[in-house]
Amino acid sequence: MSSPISVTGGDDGTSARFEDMLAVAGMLDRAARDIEEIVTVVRFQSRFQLGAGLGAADEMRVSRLLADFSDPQQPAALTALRLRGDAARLRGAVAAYQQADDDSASLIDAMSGVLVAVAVGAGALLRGRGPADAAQRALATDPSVVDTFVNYSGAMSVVTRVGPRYPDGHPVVGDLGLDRRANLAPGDLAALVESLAVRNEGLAGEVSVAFVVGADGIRRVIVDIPGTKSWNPGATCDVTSLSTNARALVGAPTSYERGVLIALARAGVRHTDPVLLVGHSEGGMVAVETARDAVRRGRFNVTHVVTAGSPIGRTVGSLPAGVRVLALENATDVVPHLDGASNPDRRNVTTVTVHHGDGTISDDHDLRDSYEPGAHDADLSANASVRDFVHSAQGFLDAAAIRTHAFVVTRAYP
Amino acid sequence: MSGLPSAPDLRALLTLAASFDASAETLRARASAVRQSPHAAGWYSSGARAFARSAEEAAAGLLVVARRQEGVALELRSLAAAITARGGGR
Repeated sequence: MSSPISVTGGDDGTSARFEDMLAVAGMLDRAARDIEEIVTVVRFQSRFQLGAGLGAADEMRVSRLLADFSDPQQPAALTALRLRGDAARLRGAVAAYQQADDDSASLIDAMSGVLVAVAVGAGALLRGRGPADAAQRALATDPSVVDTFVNYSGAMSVVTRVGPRYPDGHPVVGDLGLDRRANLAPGDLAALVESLAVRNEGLAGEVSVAFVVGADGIRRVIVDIPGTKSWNPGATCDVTSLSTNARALVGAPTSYERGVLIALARAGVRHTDPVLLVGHSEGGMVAVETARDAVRRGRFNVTHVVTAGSPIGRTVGSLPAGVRVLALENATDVVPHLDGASNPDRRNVTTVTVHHGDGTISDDHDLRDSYEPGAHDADLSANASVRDFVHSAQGFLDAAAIRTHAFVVTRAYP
Repeated sequence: MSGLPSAPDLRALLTLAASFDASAETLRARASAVRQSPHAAGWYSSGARAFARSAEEAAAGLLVVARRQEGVALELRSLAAAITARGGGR
């Protein structure tokens, strides 16, 4: 039984339509320029009396022919003018739509979410539930309350200043060898999330680098990056601890990210192999920054990223357009809201909101309870952006066999 | 002056005819691209759909200009040929 999903961004998103509209505006401008060029040529020729040596009758004939292009009141010049006007109006319409989108995320909208959540929490308290349970239900009712808190409490500006200064040490990567248990090549999004859930049950900092060969004969790589296992705010060897969260939330490089890049190199990934990074929660943030830095430096060919329950709204926009992202977000999961930012509507960023979990913070964020069934819903969806993403990732999902290499990333301090 | 035209005069006519032909070909390609651009019918709002209609009209306008350019190019060539036949442009 599947639940409905909602989708923003991607190939069918608003931003893609804006891009299309701007592309048409560009075409109209170029067409206008082409006409203006020929008009200029004709005016130049007229000025130097083309045909003056031809005799009166022929000169008159040439002059009559060229009038259509030299006279500003004739069709050529008028068409160019009209094309310029159409292009300007189209650009204006895009700007107006974008402004309207910005306005819709207003304080009033945010505050209405707070009021509903407070009402639900108060109701739970009145029914005799404990404060912790009431708070969980309030947050699950509208996790955008977290966005409001983050944006209006000043918390984000503190994280932005303090996060990058968090001591992060340097990565130490241990080789766990081939993982022969992970021997089933994923065939869909749900299988990708299931594989990530298996890795998540391993050691703190355990990641995997899996090789698949698609039906087209091309070797590809799938990397699983689990999330937070340590809530220690201090200097700890567990690379999934809070310092990685604080840094990755604002896009600062982390030892976890560098450890993943080392694991890729040690596993023998070539810089031409297409790579798909799959991350849960903090692992999704790390996946985004790994993709960003790997592609920028030309180290690895990261083409796809799948995140589950990750707050990537402030960082995913920095990815090159060639990296396609599918972000799964459970509607009642508060974690994707911890950055106080919605994922941008981009052609290469598709955000799929799913509806699973039991209304508690841990279950609504859980890979097996919420995101695996949510990914299954996405697999069944006919949404054009989702289908486009899955189609583009087909080479990762149609392999017959898989070879998985596991690593553990820890952190050391000088 | 009504003497025989010089070769440079005829060359200028033929060069202009070639410019018109090249420009017409470009405009036809532009019109086709505007017409095939991502569709209008699915665009975002009634305002954008209205624009899509006007983009269709723009493509039609481009074709009108292109056809006129081709017509003028043809007439310029025909004039140059007639002048040459009369013994001009030597």
